[in-house]
Amino acid sequence: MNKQEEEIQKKIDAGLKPLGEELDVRAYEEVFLRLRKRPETPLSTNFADKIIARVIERNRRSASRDFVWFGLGAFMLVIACIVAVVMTGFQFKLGFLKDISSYFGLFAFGIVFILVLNRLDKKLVLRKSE
Amino acid sequence: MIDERALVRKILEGDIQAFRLLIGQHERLVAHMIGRLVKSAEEKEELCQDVFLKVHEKLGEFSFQSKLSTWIATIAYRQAINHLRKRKMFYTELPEEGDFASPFVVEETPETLVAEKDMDAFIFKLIDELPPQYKAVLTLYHVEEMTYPEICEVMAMPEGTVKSYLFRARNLLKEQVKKYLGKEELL
Repeated sequence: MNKQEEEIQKKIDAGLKPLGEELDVRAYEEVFLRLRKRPETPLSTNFADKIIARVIERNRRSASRDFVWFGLGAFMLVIACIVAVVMTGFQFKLGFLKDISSYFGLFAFGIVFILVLNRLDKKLVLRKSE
Repeated sequence: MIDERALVRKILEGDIQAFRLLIGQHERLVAHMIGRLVKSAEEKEELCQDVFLKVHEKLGEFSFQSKLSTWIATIAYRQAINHLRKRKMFYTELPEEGDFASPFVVEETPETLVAEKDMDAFIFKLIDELPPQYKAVLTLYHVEEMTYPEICEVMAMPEGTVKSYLFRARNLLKEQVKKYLGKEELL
């Protein structure tokens, strides 16, 4: 960067009268004056309304999409259960609860593990993606 | 005036009026950024709307490590640059040193540029001809009165580059205005 030019720019930016070639100084003063002017912002009068309408529409679409995915998930779960029951010959007797109760520790660990993973995901992954 | 944290919390809770308030507070900033970088008048408003839609979508990820305005300006800048790239418009990485003027400033004579001898129109036209990075730095510094660290954050550039762009942009404008003034004095 040219030191003398830099000095002129700094002085004008600070509102001071710089030393230098007269035409350079005058040209810089004209430039700085226009640079500080706010450009026109011809946004429509209902600009905010338009955005809000788009947000509402997006939320509505997202909600109906979530509903479709939930329905699809529930349907797949039922199908998976039916397939599992048919393939394993599972009998609906209360006795199966006794079998599960002997793995209580494993189930408890699973739940805690999922919760911790969720917490870490929110803390680390989301922060990283910002 | 409602503080930023309370405003963001309300918006995240689904308060549409709070979001309307946020739009009102920052629409000028977004319009200045998009308005300077995008030339097509029809696309400007739609892009401004897209910026606020993105703000609404990503607001949950805002961590208050900067001012809300800086974060919104970052989104606006990226949105504008992505738009220019998509449309294959004039966007190029700028050289660090050397002859920075030659590729960008068209050697037009002032009289062909502004027949009406209007200095405002002349300089605004010159600004419009600058590369997008220069226009963004000029807008953030002079119009939005952001600090160097804030501009660095918005444009994801080191402070030295921001200062260099600011110097070069002003210098390019000055050279053209100098020619105009020199011509004027001869008349």
